[in-house]
Amino acid sequence: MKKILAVALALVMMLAVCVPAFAFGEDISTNGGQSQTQLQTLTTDEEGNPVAGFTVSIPAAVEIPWGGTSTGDFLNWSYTSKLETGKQLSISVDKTSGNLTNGTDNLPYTLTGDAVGTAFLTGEEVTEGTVSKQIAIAVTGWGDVPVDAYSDTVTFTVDVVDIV
Amino acid sequence: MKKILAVALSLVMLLAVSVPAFAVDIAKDGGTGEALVKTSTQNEDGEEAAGFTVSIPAENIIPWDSTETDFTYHITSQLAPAKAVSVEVKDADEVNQMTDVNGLTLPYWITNATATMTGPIVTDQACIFTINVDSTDGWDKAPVSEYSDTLLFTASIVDA
Amino acid sequence: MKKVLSLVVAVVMLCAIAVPAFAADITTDGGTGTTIIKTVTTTAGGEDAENFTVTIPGDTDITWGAESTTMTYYVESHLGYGKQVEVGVAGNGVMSYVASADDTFTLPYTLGGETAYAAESPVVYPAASLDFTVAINEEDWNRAVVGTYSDTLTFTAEVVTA
Repeated sequence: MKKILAVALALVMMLAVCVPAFAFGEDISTNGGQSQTQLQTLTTDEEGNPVAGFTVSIPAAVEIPWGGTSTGDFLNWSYTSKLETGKQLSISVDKTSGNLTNGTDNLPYTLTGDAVGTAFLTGEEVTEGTVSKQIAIAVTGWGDVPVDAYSDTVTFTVDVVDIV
Repeated sequence: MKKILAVALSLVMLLAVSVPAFAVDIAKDGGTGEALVKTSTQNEDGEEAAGFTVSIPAENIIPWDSTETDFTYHITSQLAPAKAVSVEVKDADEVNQMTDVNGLTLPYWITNATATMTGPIVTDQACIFTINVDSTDGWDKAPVSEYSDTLLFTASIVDA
Repeated sequence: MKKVLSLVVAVVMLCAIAVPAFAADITTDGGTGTTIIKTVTTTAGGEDAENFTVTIPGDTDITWGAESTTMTYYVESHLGYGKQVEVGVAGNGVMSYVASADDTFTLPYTLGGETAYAAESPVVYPAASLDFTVAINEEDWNRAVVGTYSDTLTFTAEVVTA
């Protein structure tokens, strides 16, 4: 009797383990018969963390030599994105021009490039690697002010928006 | 262990020398980041940008009998804040005598010998120094000849 | 074409003369540079600086009977190295009185004192004061018909090399 109960219990336990296999689809019981089952990804990783994300990398500081660089001065930034379907990044800076200042005198400058004036839309959910961008910085009036360290802050803002 | 520490220390020092400013990463929807745009005081060739030029003439001609003759030199400067160029003119041998080829002398003195700019930015500022020769004790007593002397200009950066 | 080229060359040469050359640029803190100051031998008006002046007396009256009358001339010079001014005074030795068309009377005299002057240097400043005398002896005065006798004294100045 004990042996019978042990075997029965084992069988029940095996069935309990195997149950998921029996949770979906239909049994095929005819020769040539077919049935379907669905495969589907999650938007979380095996730890359960959302995998959609992005990184916009900007320099902490851009140093411009006095008088500017003959080939131009640039603020180099980049981005990668891996977003959900129908999403893109909208990247913008807070100004098109400004003044570098030492607290007393000013050096005016203008910015040109993507994200300046109008928000830059990445246009895709997923980038192929890292996309590099440049904002040109044009400083004027070098000869009008004492030689000193002048500075200003350019603020980037990144939003995730719908691809229209 | 020592070798490991030595290598590690070398790496740290190398990184300290060569690493530029790190990037700022924005990874949050609606996130912001700041990039500091700043100037260096060196030009793209690595030379200090602050500087000045004092352009002095090769020769200054004094007409015979002229008791006061003005001469001009020029200053251009772009210096650090609150600095200025100062120029002093004096007789190189501090005897204040012009001499001719025969050793004859003609005494003189300089006025407007010092010029100090008022600020760091000066563009081709004309500065005047004056050579004075006394009529009675100078010109009238000197045989007519070509007398000359060398003047020394010294330029320095001072607080404005 | 030749005339145009000549004009261009002339303009270029004029520019080359007119532009003052700058001796040096001082560009360092504490840096120095030198320049030359030099006199020229012409004045601001373009006149030659070398000159001399001999100031001679105007018409001089000799009192009748005066056996010696002193006259003074002045010499100032500003000449170049190695030069000096020399001055001489000379007369005819006889004063004349034209009494009528047919009668002319004479009164002899001699000059004495500094009738010849040679500067010792190119510069005579302040002016040297030089006295000379017109001597007429008593006998000649006594023999002379009273009248106005006159003669012209000539001052000669020249620059010589010492």
